[in-house]
Amino acid sequence: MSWLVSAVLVCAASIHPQADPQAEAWQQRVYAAWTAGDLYTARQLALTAGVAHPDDALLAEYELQLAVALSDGQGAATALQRLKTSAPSTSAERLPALEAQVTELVARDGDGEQSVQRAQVACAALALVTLVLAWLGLAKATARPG
Amino acid sequence: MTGLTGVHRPHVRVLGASIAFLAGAATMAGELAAVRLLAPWFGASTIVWTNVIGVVLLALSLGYLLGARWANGAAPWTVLSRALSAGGLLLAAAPHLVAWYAQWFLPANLALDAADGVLQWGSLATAGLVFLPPMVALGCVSPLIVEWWTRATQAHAGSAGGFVLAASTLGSLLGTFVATHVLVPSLGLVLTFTVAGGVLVLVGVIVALTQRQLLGLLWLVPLAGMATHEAVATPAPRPIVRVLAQGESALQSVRVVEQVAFGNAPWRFLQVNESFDSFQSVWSPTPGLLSNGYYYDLFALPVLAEPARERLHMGIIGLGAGTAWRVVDGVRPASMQLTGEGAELDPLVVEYAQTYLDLPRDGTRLRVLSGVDGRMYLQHAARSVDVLVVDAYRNQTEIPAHLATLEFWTLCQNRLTEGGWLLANVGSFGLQDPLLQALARTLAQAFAAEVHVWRVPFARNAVLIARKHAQVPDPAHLVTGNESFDALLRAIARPEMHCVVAPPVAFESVLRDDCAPLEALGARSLSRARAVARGDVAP
Repeated sequence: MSWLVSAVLVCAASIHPQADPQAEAWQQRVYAAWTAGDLYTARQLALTAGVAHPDDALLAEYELQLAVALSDGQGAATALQRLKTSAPSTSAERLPALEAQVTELVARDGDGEQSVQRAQVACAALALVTLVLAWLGLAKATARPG
Repeated sequence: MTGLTGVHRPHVRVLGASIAFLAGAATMAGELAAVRLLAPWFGASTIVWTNVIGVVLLALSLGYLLGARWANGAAPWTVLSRALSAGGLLLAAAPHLVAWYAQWFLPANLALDAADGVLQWGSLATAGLVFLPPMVALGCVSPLIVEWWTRATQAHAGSAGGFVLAASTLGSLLGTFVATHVLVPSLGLVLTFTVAGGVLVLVGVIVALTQRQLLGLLWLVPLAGMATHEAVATPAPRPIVRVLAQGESALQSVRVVEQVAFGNAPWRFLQVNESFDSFQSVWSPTPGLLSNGYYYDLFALPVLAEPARERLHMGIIGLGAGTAWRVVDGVRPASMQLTGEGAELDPLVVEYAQTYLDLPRDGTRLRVLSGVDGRMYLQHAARSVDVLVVDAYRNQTEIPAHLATLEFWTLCQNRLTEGGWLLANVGSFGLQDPLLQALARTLAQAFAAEVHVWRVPFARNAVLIARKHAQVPDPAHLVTGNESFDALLRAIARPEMHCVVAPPVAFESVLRDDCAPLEALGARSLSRARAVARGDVAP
């Protein structure tokens, strides 16, 4: 749980809602959910708003920070791309740091799935070895000595 | 008459029965301790138990087959000594091997919402890789002893087999009780495996000596190196955490850590079989509300919503280190007399809590029921309670079924005074989490009333709230005067943060003692978690 608190506090401290005539309502809703500790809703609102306002830099920033907080590498990469398009000058200064962060997240994105695959391969290998040994055992277990 | 290689016939019987007895004891001790060894990484859920038992049964049946094959050879006692020694060494190496494999299948810092499938497959693969080889070796033992026995004594195979099976099963019986009640709590996991493995190696060497085949065990030397390698029995704590105490109880691995980099004063956490970013109890230097992200703060609702009460008697199921008590005690008005009882299944948790986390020892206001199961507490509680807190679930995967069913919640309702409160902490990924919904429906059915589900801001927890013949307040309209708690209420008042679950129409949709598919619900919950985190599904 503490990871969630830390992530939200860090993100909330770095982001402040700005007046934006086209997307202000969305921004306020995302920010309200965010500061109330409801990261999941904030993320979904940011994603929905991103579809309606793809060029809004602040929403892209929200989306990026929320994806980072929720350890979604692929989502963070998409949001970073949106941020680059919507605010090239702003993002240029922070780009190296953001890209490094997103790259690391993307690399860890499939950790869970890869672990499952590794475990499944190990189980399959064990099953094969077991079958071979069982066959070897059966082949001679019933034979009489001599 | 002597046996084939000089062992007297009566001695063959004694030696054979003793070996079968010790192998049986080591098998069961290893099986029970295996779950404990996996628990710090994968938990000790029914799924993990099933995987370990399945692996052991598969290994034993394979061992029986191989033993049957080798029994046909010219010198089964030679194979017997090797099987015992190899099985013993592999068993002694298990703590080291588990740490090695588990880290491979469960990456460090993997969040719970990314762990879908990892617990099932990771625990199965780790159990297979670590415990299949020694258990196959131990499975070989019984048929080889039977063969040795029949050849040396000319006994009927059925007669020899019956004696060997009886001795082996008696050994298993002893191994079961000794491992749980003596070896693991007093020696710890690593030494338990060392002792169990060491005994087998010793017996293997004795058998080899009787047959003058000691040199035949030389190929096991590399295994001995593996078994004596320094073992890591639990996942390492995160770098910013200092371990204050760590131990093995009869039930689980318990640890108290201090978060030295958390705020100005260090906070302490009780962790039980923990491998994710989670804990079971938290201690802050000052009693009272903790802060954002801690579900315990919601347990203060009855006290803050009814400050005029003169007395309040509280029951806590899953006392842990007494965090719920410390929070409620810290916010109660001075005029309110607070008493309570807390049931905690694990005495080591209570011992650590009293030493490191300020859990009261005197029993004047809080009676600590150490080693008592929650449902047993409800069945035998001497008096009714005004507030009942249920905090006995761990993540999405370890929910004791007997503390989640209609029968349990009905028992809870019976123990409450009129207007009494029930608050239960449940891990969840949003209001529509299938596990959360099933528990809420069941609770609603038991209370025959609406259950309020409040998500905890900044956390992946929700608290179920129900009252006996009274209304749960609406978070949007309740003002307690406690600034921090009112801020919490305002956050929960958002539509996405709370909901109401009415008693279900269909009786089939509630969890019952007879049928509570919690493992399947937990798996669905974890599966949904990733989609929620990605924003694909509404929380």
